[in-house]
Formats: sequence, C-alpha cells, structure tokens
Amino acid sequence: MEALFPPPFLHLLREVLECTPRIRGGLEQRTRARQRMRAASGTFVGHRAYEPGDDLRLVDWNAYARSGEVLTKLLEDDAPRSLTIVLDRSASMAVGDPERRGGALRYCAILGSLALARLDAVHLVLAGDDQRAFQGLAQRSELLLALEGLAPREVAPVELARAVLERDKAASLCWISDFTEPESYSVPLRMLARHGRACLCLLPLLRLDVAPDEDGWVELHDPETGERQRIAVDAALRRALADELAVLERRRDAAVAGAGAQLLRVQVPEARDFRLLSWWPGSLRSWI
Amino acid sequence: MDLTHGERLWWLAALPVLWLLARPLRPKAIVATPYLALWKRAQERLGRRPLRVRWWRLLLLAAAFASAALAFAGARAGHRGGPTALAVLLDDSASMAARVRPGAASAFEQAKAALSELLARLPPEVAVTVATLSGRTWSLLPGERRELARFEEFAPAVGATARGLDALAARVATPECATWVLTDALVPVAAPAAGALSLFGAPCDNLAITAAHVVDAWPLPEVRVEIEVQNASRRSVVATLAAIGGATGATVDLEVAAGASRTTTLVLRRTTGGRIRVALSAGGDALASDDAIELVVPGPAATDLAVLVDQDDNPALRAAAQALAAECGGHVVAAGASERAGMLLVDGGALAPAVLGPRRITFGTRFSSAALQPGALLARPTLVDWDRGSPLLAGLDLSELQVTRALGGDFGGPGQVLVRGADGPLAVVREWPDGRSVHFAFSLTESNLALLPAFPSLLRRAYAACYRDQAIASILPGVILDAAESDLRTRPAGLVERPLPEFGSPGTSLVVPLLLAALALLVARIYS
Repeated sequence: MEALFPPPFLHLLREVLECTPRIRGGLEQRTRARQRMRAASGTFVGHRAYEPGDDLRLVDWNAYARSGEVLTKLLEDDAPRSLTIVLDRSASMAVGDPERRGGALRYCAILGSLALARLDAVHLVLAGDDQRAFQGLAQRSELLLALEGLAPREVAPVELARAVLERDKAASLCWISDFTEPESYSVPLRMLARHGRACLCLLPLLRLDVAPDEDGWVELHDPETGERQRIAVDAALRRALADELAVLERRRDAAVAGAGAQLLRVQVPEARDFRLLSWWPGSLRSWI
Repeated sequence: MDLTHGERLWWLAALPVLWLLARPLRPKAIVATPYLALWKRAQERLGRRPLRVRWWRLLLLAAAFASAALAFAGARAGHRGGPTALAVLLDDSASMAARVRPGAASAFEQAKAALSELLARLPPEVAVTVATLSGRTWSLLPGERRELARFEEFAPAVGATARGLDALAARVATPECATWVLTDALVPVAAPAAGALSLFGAPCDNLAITAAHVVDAWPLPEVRVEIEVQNASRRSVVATLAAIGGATGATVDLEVAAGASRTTTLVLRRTTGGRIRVALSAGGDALASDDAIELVVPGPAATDLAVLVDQDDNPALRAAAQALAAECGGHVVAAGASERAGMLLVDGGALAPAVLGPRRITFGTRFSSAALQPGALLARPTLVDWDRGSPLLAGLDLSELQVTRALGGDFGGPGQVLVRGADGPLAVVREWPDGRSVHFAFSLTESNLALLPAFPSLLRRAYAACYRDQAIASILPGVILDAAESDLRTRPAGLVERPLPEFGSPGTSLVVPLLLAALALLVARIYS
C-alpha cells in the first residue's frame, strides 16, 4: 500500500510553503498578531521539549540551568491565530481512484502545514470528542502522523459544527468533505454562519463526481451503507447518471451558498502526481 | 406419503444448482461509490429494474423441481407395508381325500371352500398363485375377478405325497409374498414352518393296500396277486379282498391287527384278461383311494395251434402241442389251416420264406425251397453253451442235450443266439414287429430235446415269448399310495394353525398430481 505522505509529497509541502509567504488568515488577523507578541509572555501552561525552529524567546533558561535540558515554555494565548480544519472521515470518502479520502488528507496536510508555518496553530476537528491541536511548524510531523493514523468514522455534520463552535470562535475554518448529502450540511453551516464563522467547504473532486466511467456488468457498493447493487451500465445509463450528478452539484452549491459559505472543488490529482500545480491550484491559492 | 424409489430423492440435491443458475452473472468489477442512490434513480428514469435474484420466482422453480423429483421417486399415498402376493400351497395328496365319517366333506373339499372364501375377501391388489403338490397351478393377477374361483377341476392326486411341503413353503416365502399352506398334516412329514398354515380333516382310521405283486403264469390261466394290507387304525379289522374284471377267483377274508400289515395272495383264473380291479372292503375306512388296485393281465393264449411235421412217425411235437393246448385252454388244429392258426409249430421240413413271421417255433426246419446242398448238415454238432441269462433258458438244464444232425445255422435271418454249438448257433430267437419266433437248428427226431425234463418249460416259455409284451401282466402305475400317505392316525403334536399376515397395499400413485403441480408452478413462475 502506498504511503499517504511519500517523500515527493513532503517535497511538495516544502514547495507550497516556499511559494506562499502569507495566507489569508494572517492578514485578517494582523491585529491579533500583535496580541500574539504579548502572548509570548502570557500565561505559562507547561513545558515541552525544544524542537528546532522554536522561538528562542520561549526557551526556559531557568529550567535549562536547573536540569540541563532545553525546554520550551508553553504559553496559552487567548486568541491565537489558527486554522480550524474539519475533516469528514465517513466511509463515503473511501471511494475513487485515487481515493477521495487520501486526497482529503493530503489537502488537510497542505493547509495544516501552511497554517503551522504562517499562523500559530492548527485545530483538527475530527469528531465531538476527537479534536487535536498543533502549534508551530515543528509539529508538522506530528500533524502528518496524526493524519496518517486516522481511521474512518461516521460523525454527523451537526456534531462537527458544535465541536468547532466550542473550540475556537475566531479561527479560519475549512471543512473538507464530499458533501454527498448536501442538505445535511445546511444546518451546521448555518450554525457556523450565525456565529460569524466563514467556512470554506473543500470538496476533493474525483472523476466519478462528474461522469462515470464504468461500463458493462458491474457491482456498485456503497461503503457507507454497505448496500450492493449489480447494474448493467451502458451509455444511456451513464448519461442519465451524469444528469443526476449535475443535479447533485447544484444541490451542493445551493446548500453551501444558502449558509453563506464557499464551496471550493479541487481535483484530486492522480496517485503519482505530486506536481505543485496539481496540488496547489489557483482556486485554493487564491482562497489562501 | 411414501416413496417407491426413495433413493431418487437425491435429485433434490440439485436444488442448490438451481439457486446458482438463478443468480446474476458475476460482475466484471466491483466499484465503490457514494452515489448508489443516484445510480438507482438513473435506472428508474430509464425504466430499468435492478437485476437481482427474484426469490419468489426461484421459490416457484424450486417447488416445481421438488415436485418433479418426488414424482420421479414414485410418491404415493395410502401405502401400507406387507406382502402384495399370496402363494397358496394346496396339499392335494391322496390323504386329503379322507373323510372322517361317510358323507362328510373331505379335507380337500374343506380346503377348497376356505380358499374360495379367502379369494372373495382378499384385497384386489394382491396377486394370487395356487399350486398343488401334484403340479397344478392357478394364477390370478391383481384386479381380476376372483369371486367365481371354485377350483372344481382340482382333486386329490393319487400319486402325490406331502413330502417336501415344508421346503417348498420356505422357498416360496419372501417379504413380498405370503405363503399359505392348506394341508391335513396327517402324514408324518415335517409341517411347514414358514407362512400361514390351515389344517383340515382330522386323524382317522384307514385300511389300505400298501403293496402288490402279480405273478402271471401265462399262457396258463392262473394269475397270483400278492397284496399287502396295512391296518392304520387302533383296532383289529377283518377285510375282504375281491377281484372284479377279467378274471375269476376266490374272495379272501383276512384279519389285520391294529397298526400292523399283512400280506396275502389272491389266486385268480384268467377269463378274458384286461383290467382286473382288486378291491379291499372293510367298515370304517376313511380313505377310499387306497383300497383298490388295478391289474392288467394278458388275455388267454391263442386257442389254436397248428403243427407241421415232415414225418408222420414223429409224435413228440404233436404230444407237446397237445399238452400246450391243454394248458392254455386251446386245441391243436389241422395242419392245412396253419395260415389261420395263432401259433405254428414245425418240426423238420422246409418252409417258404414268406411263411416266416412271429409266433413260429421251428425245429430243424429250412427256410428255403432249394435242394439241400451237401455239407449243409452238421453231424453230431458239439454243444458249447446256452444263454442262461435269457428268459427262455433261465434255470433250465440243457447239458444233456444231444443232437445227431443239425442244419448249418440258416434261420432265415439274424437273431439272438439261445444255444451255441461249436460250428455255429443251434437255436435263436428272432424279433418281429409284433412278436417273436424261436428256431432250433435240429429237429426233435434228430435230438433228445423232447426227452429232456426242461423241454415242457422251454416250449411254454417259447410260446409266451412269441407273444412278447402281450403276455406280461402288470399293476397300473400310481394306484398304490405311499404307505405313510395312508396312515391317517396322528397329526404332529404342537402343530397349530397360523393366520395370514396383513396384506400390503400399493396405495395411490401421486406421480401425475405431482407432475401437474410442477407444471402449474412453472406456469405461475412465467406470469409472476
């Protein structure tokens, strides 16, 4: 099985960081950047081992003098600049070739790495009881490891929205999902909008979302419900399904736009395609 | 419901094959998609139904196949296990004709009545075969009418015995074939141990002729019949033997002790010959068929004997002919009527070959009209031996026979040599289609044969031999029963009747209904 983050992808991450000196969240939170400076001397909440790249001002020299161990102070900021990523781990993401789930995780890694490099933190909201926070570029590897270790799990969109609102009320928000049932996202997106949370809905796009390429006698399997259906696929059926997919796209657009959010469709590149232009398209770059 | 061919239900093992065949083809790809609902909606828009196993149709097909399999296995309803055939072994031995008292039904008549009654109430599916010990058989296929079966033509056979009845019953009995033995079981033989058993008649007293021997003195009129009488009863019996038919004779009364046998001789005098019935009469006899025998005795010998002699001073042959005629009750006729005589005695001389034939006794007679050649006569031929095994010469002594002159062995044809000389046969007996002729190579005047003590017997035997089989008395075969068959006193102890088993029924075949049901299920499947 191919690794989720192979060396070409890590190289791609570095390229993305190099070509993106600032991000939208940084500009919008300029005022809060000054607060971050204050936060450097804010409330001490603990230590962690020093890692290359940590701000030297956060090194606890007194602790170093006592123990000889270089520790970085953890200071809690009341309103850190961060990016909240809501990741859909439902079974319906495990479709396509390349798999939509893999594409979603890689996009999550790209956005998370950018946030770690250009902002203060990344919040990963996976479920109401599974939220993970990463601070500093030095924790990018932890972020990647955490993403690699994620298992599929069905979580209702409303639960995810509540988790976002409980966690952080100011960070930028990106919701990565397939939005297969667009209507089920209307309520949570409206909840976020009422709390002033502008949300980017990122849909990793596959070929099967646009036009099916199955042909002949095939068995269709819905990984979310487990239902199976054998169908004889021909050109007429493919055309009819393409019409249905077009209707679904319109429903997605309507559901997202109705909640004041933005739906961004990014094509999932092929399995061995790690080119910058493929993974860092203009639409995503412009949003950043 | 049960099955005639249960092993054919293995065809039901093919039902999973139907299920496999009813399943859709294996897809060439399995595709995971979150849009299965959209696929279904697209299909509905095109008016297509999803391909899937239609369990209802598969169930109909499986039911039709199961029905056909049951029909193939011979399903039937109402079947009852048990024999479907009945073999009736009817003892028709002579003892079955015994009547316990005069006027009562014999055991055989009772058995026939019981058999007719059973056939009238037997299930029509049961095949019936009736066999008797004498070899009669009578079969009835399932469904045939049997109410009229009375077995009128069946009767006890005089020569049949009950021996082997048990072995026959054991051989016939099978799980599918019930055996029913109808017997009197009075004969001391093993009773059948297999199958049903019905006993008829009862032990009773019987007097029987168990052996007979006839000694016929033909051509003499005396016929002696030695008869053994068995008294199979518990009391001493005085019986009377009397002859009826072609002989006359004294009636013999004899007393036979209880359980004993006694032999007596009945001396008869032949009148016309032919069949003579010797009957035994006594009171309280249960079985009549063993009370009489029939003899066949030859008629009296020919009443005319012609004598031809070439020398008038030869009294020996005439005297012998006179003596023979006196014994046979006949007489000597004139030589001129020889063509019409029953027997021709010739001494010396010559006869034309055309005169040769049966019933001729010649002594030194030539069978040619040609002149006697020199050297054709043998002077003092030497007697070598005579055939002691021949019925003509058995027990006779010819050692004193002296012949002064004999012919050279020309007897008009080949024959069995009776007396052999050093230069050829001296006497022969020739076979003819309807009798024999006896020829001696020497005349009575040129030998001392007429003077030998054996001559009268030899002449009488030659006379009888010329008539061949017509002169043999015999007892008609089969008229004398086996001695055990006539002993009706006891029945084996502990022998009890055994009822017939419950007969099986083939039931009603369900093949056609099941096939129709299978057809209906297939039709329903088409329209479902």
